[in-house]
Amino acid sequence: MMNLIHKTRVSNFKLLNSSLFCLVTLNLLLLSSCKKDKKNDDITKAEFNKSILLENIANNVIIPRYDSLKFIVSNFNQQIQALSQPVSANDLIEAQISFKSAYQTWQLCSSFDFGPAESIALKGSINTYPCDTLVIKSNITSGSYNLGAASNLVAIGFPAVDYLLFHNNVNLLVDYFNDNAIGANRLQYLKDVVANANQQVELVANQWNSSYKTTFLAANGTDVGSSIGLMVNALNMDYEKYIRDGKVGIPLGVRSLGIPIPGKAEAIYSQHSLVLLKTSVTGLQNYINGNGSESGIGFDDYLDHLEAKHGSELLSNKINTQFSSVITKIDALQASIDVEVLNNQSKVQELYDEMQKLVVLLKLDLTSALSILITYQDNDGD
Amino acid sequence: MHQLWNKIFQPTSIAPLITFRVLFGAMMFFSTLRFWLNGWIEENYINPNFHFKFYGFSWVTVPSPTLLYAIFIVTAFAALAISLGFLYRWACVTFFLLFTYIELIDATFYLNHYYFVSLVSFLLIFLPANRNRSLDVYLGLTKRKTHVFNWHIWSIMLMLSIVYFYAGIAKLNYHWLIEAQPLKIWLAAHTHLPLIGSFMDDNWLAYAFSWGGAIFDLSIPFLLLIKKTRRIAYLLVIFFHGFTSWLFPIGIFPFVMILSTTIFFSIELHERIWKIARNKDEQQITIGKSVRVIVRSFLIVFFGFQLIFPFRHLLYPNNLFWTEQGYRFSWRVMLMEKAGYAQFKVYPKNDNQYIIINNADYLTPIQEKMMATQPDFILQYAHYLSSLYKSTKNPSPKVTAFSFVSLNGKGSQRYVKEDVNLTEIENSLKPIDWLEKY
Repeated sequence: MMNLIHKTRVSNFKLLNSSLFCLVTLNLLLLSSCKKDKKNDDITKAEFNKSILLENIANNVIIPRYDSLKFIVSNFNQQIQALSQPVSANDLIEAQISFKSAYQTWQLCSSFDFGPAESIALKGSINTYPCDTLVIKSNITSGSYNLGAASNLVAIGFPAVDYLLFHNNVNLLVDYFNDNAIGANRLQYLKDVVANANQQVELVANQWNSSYKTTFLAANGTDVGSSIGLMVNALNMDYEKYIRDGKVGIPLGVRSLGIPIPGKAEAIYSQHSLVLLKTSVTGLQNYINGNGSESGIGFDDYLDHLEAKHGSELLSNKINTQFSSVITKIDALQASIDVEVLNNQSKVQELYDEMQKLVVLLKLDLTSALSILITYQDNDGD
Repeated sequence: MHQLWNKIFQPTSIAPLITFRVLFGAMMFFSTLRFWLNGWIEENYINPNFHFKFYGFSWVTVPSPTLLYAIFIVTAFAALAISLGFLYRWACVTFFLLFTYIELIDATFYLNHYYFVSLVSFLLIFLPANRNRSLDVYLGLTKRKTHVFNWHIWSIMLMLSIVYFYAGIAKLNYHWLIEAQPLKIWLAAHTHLPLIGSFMDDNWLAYAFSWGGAIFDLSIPFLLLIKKTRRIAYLLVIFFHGFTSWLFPIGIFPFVMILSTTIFFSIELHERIWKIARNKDEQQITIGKSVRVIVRSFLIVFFGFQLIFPFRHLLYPNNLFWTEQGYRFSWRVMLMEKAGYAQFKVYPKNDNQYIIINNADYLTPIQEKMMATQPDFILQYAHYLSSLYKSTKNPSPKVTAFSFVSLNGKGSQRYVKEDVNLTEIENSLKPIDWLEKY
């Protein structure tokens, strides 16, 4: 009896299992790390060195995050590749759940845009939004496309999947995929886009688990090409350009005379941009604090070791306090960003203002205290 | 003093000047090539849409890419010609004008040693450094000489001494001596170095380097002049510049100083290197009274300017490091850790609706970084932004800045006053009143 059930529902079990696993890992990544036992990682001056910081960040933060992204995206990919016409509403709902957790997990990796991720331009191919639905539609219609082409950056990655997998009316979505004329192409396009994302993520995750980890640990200085220099530059770029501007500022209208552009928000079809935003901000905070499944040595400890101050306060405290202020403002929002910029513009503006203060602390105070050059341009000084 | 004035017209060996000409020209040749090979011509001058200007030099514009590359080629060949002593005076004039022109295109890339190069190449125009061991002599374009006047060599020595001594004076401030800043921050970033790494974040080391650096700068001109201490002084020069170039990204400056200071070596050593035997007849040469007056006036004006100009910051009531009025052209080398962040709001229509500018749309990363800490750049950029958004309805849109600066590890403080409309402020030499107090 057990066997029979097992056999007939095997695919669903697998899905359920992977979804469960996704949630559990996500929770591990998100929650367990928030509480930090200060006593454990209060280290004395003599004990601190940058190699310990790099080791902890690699082993406790970056690699586990990439591993879990790889696992979740790979499961999502298997699930999508297993789809066949006729697609059922249940199939799509299951896929939507997996997609959301994959998109959420990606937020934890978007700050690592250096090394392997940078060399294959992972960030651009995974999360360039808004996607261009016209390009996607024309790709589907023609049925022939090169997903690696620069012109297709707006038609691939999670934003494209977001568009393909979500609609107010699930039944209509089912009809799209089962449409006689274009349904097969549409399903194939979905499969190709997800397979492409899966392949890219796998590539980067595998490199972090092999050769790049050695490179990363060896570059233990603070010059332009050092791992600390790369991390700080990349996290600032991510926070300023992609989190503050991309997720909040541009939809809010900071580039358009205060007129909101909800269409430029993230995940407008699945409507879970608020979760993505919060995940990326808390993810960045944990990354900076060196916290993964357990708390460890991070930039906060490095700053404390250097006795970096902001006024009379420890800079590390100031940064964490400001993260809390940002998170409070995120929590004050209820709907997704594209909805909130229309209905609650002043609250999103308040969020933007708090995020802006954090830019100053990260780009100015933190980098200056660590004596890191914020520039990708090589130049002499004197 | 009177004696010294006469002594500058006494003949001396040309050999030290030959050494200097050959080394300086060669260094400039290689550094021009290096600049090109690093891709900096394109990155610094061709790619940016906007260039920051020095006060009074806003008329200097960037030429077309082809012309710019041609200018770099000519500059490199002029440097080579200086080194070889070929059409020397023309080479010096050409090099001085083109090198200075390049520096004036964009103030972002101001470096003290570029200023030093401009000044020295200007001086070289007036020094007969091609009168021996040169193509000019070899080709019969000029007569060989074994003697020059003291002032020919002393002016280079004085220029070098001013660089060191003024860099030393600049270090005599509270941040440097009492707080050991910025070295405390800069050295602590180097704990990964072999052997000495473990000391790099020790306070005593930051103090030792701060005080040591100040004492080095103030005393090295004298130690190089005195025969007894010269050998040890030059070893110190090599150690000091070698060490700083190992720790910090300061390009060719250390090598310029290490090679330039060879002019302090004894005359005999230079003569041995170039195998120049002084011709006794030339020791009798004298010089007309009117020429003496001209030379003396020139030296008084040139070096008078060099001695006074770096102190112009005393005319300003503000904190020098904060407002940077009088900071440049004053040998303030590696003197502070200053970082900034500036974001601009432009109000194209009215005073309520604004656009937040993405600096990367208009500035290169290095321009943005330099702009954020230098008030005259902030102002130039704000005016530029205003001009981009102007319309017939609103010919000078309001621009405000959200700007913070961290100086010597003190943490970020607001820089530009929050509500100041930068469009209404003119770039001037008057004390700045639109910044928050430090």
